[in-house]
Amino acid sequence: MFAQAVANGVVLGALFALLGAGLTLTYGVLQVPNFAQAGVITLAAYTMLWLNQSAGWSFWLAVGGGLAVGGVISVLTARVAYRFVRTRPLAAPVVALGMLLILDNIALVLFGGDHVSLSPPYAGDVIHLGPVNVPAVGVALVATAALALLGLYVFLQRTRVGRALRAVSQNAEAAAMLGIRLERQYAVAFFISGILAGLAAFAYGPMYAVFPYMADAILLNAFVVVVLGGLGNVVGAAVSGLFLGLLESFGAVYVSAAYQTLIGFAVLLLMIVLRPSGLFSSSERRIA
Amino acid sequence: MHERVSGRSALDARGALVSRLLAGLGPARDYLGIALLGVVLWLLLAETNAFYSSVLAAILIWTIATSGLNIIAGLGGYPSLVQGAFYGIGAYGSAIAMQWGQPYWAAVPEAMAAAALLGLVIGVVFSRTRGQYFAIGMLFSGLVVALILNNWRSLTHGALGLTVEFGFANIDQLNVAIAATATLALGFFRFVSRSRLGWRLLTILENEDLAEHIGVPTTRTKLTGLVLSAAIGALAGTLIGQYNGTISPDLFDYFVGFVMFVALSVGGAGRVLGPLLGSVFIVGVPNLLNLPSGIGLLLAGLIFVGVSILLPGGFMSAIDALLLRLRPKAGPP
Repeated sequence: MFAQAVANGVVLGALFALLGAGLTLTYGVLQVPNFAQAGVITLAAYTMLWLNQSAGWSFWLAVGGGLAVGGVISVLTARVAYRFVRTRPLAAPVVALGMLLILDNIALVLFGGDHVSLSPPYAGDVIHLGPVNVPAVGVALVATAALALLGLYVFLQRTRVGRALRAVSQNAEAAAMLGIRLERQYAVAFFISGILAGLAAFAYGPMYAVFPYMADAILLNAFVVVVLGGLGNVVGAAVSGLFLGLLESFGAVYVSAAYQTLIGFAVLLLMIVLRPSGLFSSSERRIA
Repeated sequence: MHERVSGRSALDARGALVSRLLAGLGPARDYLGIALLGVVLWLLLAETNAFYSSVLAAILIWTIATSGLNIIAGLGGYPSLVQGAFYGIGAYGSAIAMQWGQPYWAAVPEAMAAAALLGLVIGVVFSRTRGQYFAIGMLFSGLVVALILNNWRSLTHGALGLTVEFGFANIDQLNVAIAATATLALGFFRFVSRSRLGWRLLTILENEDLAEHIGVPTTRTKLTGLVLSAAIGALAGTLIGQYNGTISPDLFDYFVGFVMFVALSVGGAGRVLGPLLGSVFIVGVPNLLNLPSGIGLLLAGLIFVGVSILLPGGFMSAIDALLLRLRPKAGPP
C-alpha cells in the first residue's frame, strides 16, 4: 500500500513537474499565468490521436506531429493575445483564461466531447517492482518528464539562447538594452512550453482520457507547483512537482480519492497563509 | 459642426429642456431609469412566447449574478472567478433548506448567508493576494466547491442533482420575482457604486498601495465587497433553481465563475448596465441562436479576448463613445 502510493505519487509528480516547468518558463518571460497551456495539451493530444487513428500515422510519428502542433499553438497564443497584455498585469490572467476557453472549445467543436484514449504500443503492459505494479505508461511518463526537465535545465544553463531566456526573465528591459530581441525570446519560451505541453499530452493521454477539458483541473495543481517552487525556477518546479504528486497520492490512498485535488488547494492555502508576502505580491518588480 | 447644430435647433431646444429636467432630478434619475427598465423587462418576460421568455429569464438571472460580481470585480478590480460557486451555493442551499421544510422566503436569505460566509472565508484567505495569485486562488476555490457538490452525495445526490420544490404559486409570480430581483440588483449596484464602499473600492482599483497609504481600510473594503458579491450571486442561484426545477453540479462547474467574469467584462465592468449587456451577449445570443455549447463558449472566448485587447471598457464604453458623437455639443453653461 505504502510503496504503491509512492509509485503513484512519483508518476503524478512527474506530470506536475512537466506542466510546472512550462508554466514557470512562460511566466518568467512574460509574467502571464499561462492557463492556455491546458488547451495546448488538449489540442496536442487530439492531434496525436487523429494522426494515429484517422490519418494512419505510426504512433511515434503521430507523437512528433502532436509535439510540433503544441509548440506552434503555444507560440500563436503569445503572438495573438499575450503580447497585448504585457503592460496590463490585471488583464493577463483573465485573457489567459479566455485563450483556454477558446482552445478547449475548438477541441470540443472539432473532435466532440467524448472521452477517448490514446493508446501507445505498450498500453497494456504492467511492470512489477516487487509488490508494486506500475503501468508501462506511468514509467514512460516518469522517463519523459525526467529527460525533458534535464534537457530544459541544460538548455537554460549551457546554451546561448537559454542564457538569453534567463536574462529576459530576470530583467527584460536590461536584456533588451544588451541587444536581446524580446519578441524572439517570447516565441522561444512559448515554443518550449508548447513542446512540454505536447510531452504532457503524450504522457497523460494514455493514463487518463483525452477529452476537451482533460487538463484543466490538473493545470491548477501545476500552478500550485509553480507557486511552491518559485516563479521562473525550473529545478524548484521539478522538486515541488514531485512533492505535490506524492502528497496527493498519499491523500488519495489514506484519505479519499474523490477529494484528491483538495490537497493541492490545501497546500496553496498554507503557502498563502505562511508566506503572504514575497512570492505572492504581484506588485513587486523582479530586480536582477 | 455649427450648421449641423443650428439645423436641428428646435429639436435640440426640446432635448435640452428634457435633459435639464432630468438633471434636476439628480441621482433619482438613474433609479427611475432602472425601474422603468425593470417594468419593460417584466412585460417582455410575461408577454413573449415561452422560448423568448425562457431566454430572457436566463439573461436576467445571469444579470443578477454578474451585478453582484460587478461590486468586487467591477469597482474593486479584483478578478473574482468564484462567482459561479456562490451561484451554486445559492441554488443548492435554497433547495436543501426547502427539503428540510423551510418556506422559499426563508430559504433564500439562508442560502445567501451561507454564500456570504463562504465569501468571507475565501476573502480572509485570498484578500492578501493580488493579480494572478488571486485569480488562481479563486479558480481553485470554485473547483473545490464543484468537487464538494459532486461528491457530498448524502446532501447533494452527486452528479444526479436535486429536484427543487417550487416556491411560487405559478410561473407568472416567478417571472415577477425574476424581473424585480434583476431590477433591484441593478439598483443596488448603482447605490453601492456611489456609496463610501464604492469609492473605496474604486481607490483600490486605481492603486491599492496608495489607497492603503491614505487610510482606506483596504482589507475590510475588499472583504465587504466580496461578501456582498457572494450574497447576490447566491440570490441569483436561488432563482435558477426555481426556474429550472432541477439542479446538478455541472451547472455550477468551476469555469462558470470565469464565464460570469467574461460576461461582466464584455458588457462593461464597473458600469450599472454592464452585467445586463454582457449577459445578453454571453447567455442570450447563444441561446437564441440555439448554438451547441462548444460553439457558444468558443464565441464567448473570442469576443472576450477581443474586447479585453481592443476595448478594455467593454461594450458599454463603445455605447458611450457612440452617444457622445450623436449628442449635440454641450453649450456654455
